[in-house]
Amino acid sequence: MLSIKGLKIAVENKIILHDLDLEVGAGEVHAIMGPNGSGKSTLAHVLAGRDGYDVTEGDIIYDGKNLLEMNVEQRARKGIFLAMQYPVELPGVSTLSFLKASVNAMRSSIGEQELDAVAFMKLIRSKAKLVGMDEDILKRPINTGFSGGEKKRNEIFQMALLEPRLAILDETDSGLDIDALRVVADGVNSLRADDRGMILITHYQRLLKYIEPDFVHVLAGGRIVKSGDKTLAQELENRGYSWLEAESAA
Amino acid sequence: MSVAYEPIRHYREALAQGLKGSSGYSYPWLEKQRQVAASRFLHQSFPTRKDEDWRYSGIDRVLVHPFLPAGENVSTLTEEDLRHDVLYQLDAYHLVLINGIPVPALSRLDGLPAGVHIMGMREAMVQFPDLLAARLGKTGQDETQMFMLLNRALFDDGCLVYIEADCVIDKPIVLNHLTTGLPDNYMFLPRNLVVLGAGANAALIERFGSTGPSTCFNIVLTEISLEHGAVLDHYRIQEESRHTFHMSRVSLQQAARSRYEGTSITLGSAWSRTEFNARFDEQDAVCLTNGIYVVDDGQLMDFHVDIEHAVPSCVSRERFKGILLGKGRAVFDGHVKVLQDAQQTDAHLSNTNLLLEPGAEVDIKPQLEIYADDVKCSHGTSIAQLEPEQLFYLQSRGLDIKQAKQMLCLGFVSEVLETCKAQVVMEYVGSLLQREFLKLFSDG
Repeated sequence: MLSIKGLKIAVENKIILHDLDLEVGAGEVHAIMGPNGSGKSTLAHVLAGRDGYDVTEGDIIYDGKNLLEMNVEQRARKGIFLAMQYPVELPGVSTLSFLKASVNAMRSSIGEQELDAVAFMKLIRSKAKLVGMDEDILKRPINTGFSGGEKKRNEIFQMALLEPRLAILDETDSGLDIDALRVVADGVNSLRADDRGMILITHYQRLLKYIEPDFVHVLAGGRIVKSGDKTLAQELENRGYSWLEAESAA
Repeated sequence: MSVAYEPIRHYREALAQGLKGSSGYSYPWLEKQRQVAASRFLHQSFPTRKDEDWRYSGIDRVLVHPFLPAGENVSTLTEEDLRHDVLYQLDAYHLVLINGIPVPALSRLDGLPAGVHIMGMREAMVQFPDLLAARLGKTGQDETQMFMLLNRALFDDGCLVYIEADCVIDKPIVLNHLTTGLPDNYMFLPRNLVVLGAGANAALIERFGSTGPSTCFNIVLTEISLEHGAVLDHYRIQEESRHTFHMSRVSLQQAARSRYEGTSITLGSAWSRTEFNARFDEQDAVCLTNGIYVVDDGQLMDFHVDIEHAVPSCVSRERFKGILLGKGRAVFDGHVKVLQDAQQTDAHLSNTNLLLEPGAEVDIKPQLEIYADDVKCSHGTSIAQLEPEQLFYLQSRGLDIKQAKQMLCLGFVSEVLETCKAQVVMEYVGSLLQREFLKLFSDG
C-alpha cells in the first residue's frame, strides 16, 4: 500500500530524515517510536503533503502512484488521513458544515453522489456513537475551546467518518489522561480493518498497550535504527532510547 | 471650443438645474432647508486627500463621472423580474424603490398593523407634513458634507417609516432600493426618515441592489429617530453592481432607554462610503452596530462611524469585520466621543480584517475622544491573513483550496453574522456571503 524508499527530507536546508525506508501493507498497524526531535512528525506531515518540507531524495509510492506528485486534498481523497498532533482551532467554522463538505468532497472524488442532509446526519450519529463522541461537540466551531482530549477524539471521529485507506496518527496519545487514551484507543481498534493500513506515531509505549501494533520501528536521528514486532516496544519501555541512539552512532 | 470637464463646476450646474425642477410639494421649512444646503454646497469645494476624513477615500474616482440627477422614473421592472430575488420573496412589508423613487406596483404594503405607516416620501409630505416638519433634517450635526448637501438640496423622494408609540410590527420591513434601466451617469438622491414612537418595536431591512450594469451614483440619507424605549433592528445590505458608486449616511438619534441594533453588510459597488452617526440625547440608551465588508480587486469600501455620548449611562458597541482580496481597499474610521457629562458611558469599538492577498490594503483609524472620567471605553483593531495551518487542516480533510478559504472566511465573519436576530436575514446574508466567496475564489 505504502512504500517509502530512500527518503531524504530537509527543512530550510537542514536534513531531518535520512534514507528512510518503510513498507506498510494493507491491514497492518505500524508503530513509529522515537525520542523527541527524531523526525516522527516530519514523516507524518510529509505523508499528508504539508508545505515547508523539501524532499531531496527518495520516493513515496502509495497504491502504485507517486504520492509526492499529489497535493494535500488529492491525497486525502485517495484515502490518506492524518490525525494531527495539535488539531488547529477554527473559530467560527461550523463543525457540521465542515464535515459535510469533507465527506462530500471524498464522495464526489470517487464518483459517488453527495449525501443529503438526512443521510449525512444519520452517518454522523452512527460514527459519533462508534467513537463515543458527544454530539454537542458538533454544534461548536471546529476544535474551538475543545479540551485536549476532545480535540483528539474529534480526530478519531473524523477518521471513522472518512474511512481512510491509510491512517497516520501523529502522537494521538500525547496529552491524554488514561481514560481519554482508552477511548481513543478503542476508537482506533474498532477501525482496524484488512484493507486499512495504520501508522501510529508515538513517543511512549503506553498507547501500544491498548493498540497492538504488528510492527514497531524506532526512528532516531532521522533514520529508522531498529524494526521489530511489538516486543520491541516493551524493550524500549525498559531501556529507553539511548542504547539505540548509541548503537546507531557507532 | 470644448471646455475641460471640472467636477465642481459640473456639480454646481447640476445643482442649479436640479433646484429649478418642481418636486410637486413645497413647504417653507423645506425650501429653507434646501436653500441652506444649496448655498453651502455652492460655497464649498469637494474634499481632497488633504482632508483627514477623506484621506484614503479616493474621491476622484467618483468625481470623474459627470453624474446628473435622474428625473421621473422610466423603469419597466415587473414583479416577474424580481421573482428570483430571495429578499423580495420574504414574508415582509416591502417598499420597492427604483432609482430612488418608490414604485407602488412592486411594493407590498397591504395589511399594515394600525399605527404603522410605510410610504414614499412624496406621499408622506402630504399625509404627515407636521411629522416631517418636526423631524426631517433634525438629526445629526450641521451638514457640511458635499454629497449630503446635494441630497438635502435636491432630494425628491425616498421613504418614510413611521411607527406610532407602543406599536409592534409583526413582520420585517424591507426597503428595497434598486438601480436599473437608465443610461450611464445618473445619480439618485433618496431621502429616508424612520421614526419609532415611544415603546415601538420594528425590524427594518434596507437593501441596495442593482439589476443592470449602468454606471450610477446612489446618494442616500437615512435619518432615524428612536423615542423613549423604542427598539429597532436595522439591517443594511449593500450588494450593488461593480459599476455603481454609493454614498450613504445613517443619522441616528436616540431617546432614553431606546435600543438600536444595526448590521451592515457591504459587498457591492466600485466605490462606497457609509457614514454612520449616532447621538444619544437621553440616558440609558443602547446602540450596537456590527458590520461585514468584503472588498474585491478594484473596489473601495469606506466606513465612517461616529458615536457621540453626550449624556450619562449609554452603551455603544461597534464591531466590524472585513475581508479584502486582490487590490481591494477599505477604510475604517471609528470615532467615539464621550462628553464631560457622559459618565458611566460604556463604549467599545472593534475592527478586524483579513487580507487575503498582498495587494489589498486597509486603513484603520480608531479614535476615542473622552472628556468624562468615570467611563468604560476601549477599542481594538487587527489585520491578519489566513493561517496556513488552518488551510492545511481543511485540505487534509479533502477540501480544495477554494472551499477551504470560503469556509475560513465564513468562519471569520460568523461572529457578526450570528448577531442578526432575524433568522431570515441571517440566512439570506449567509447564503449571499457564501455565493460571494465562491465567486471570488473561483478565479484562483
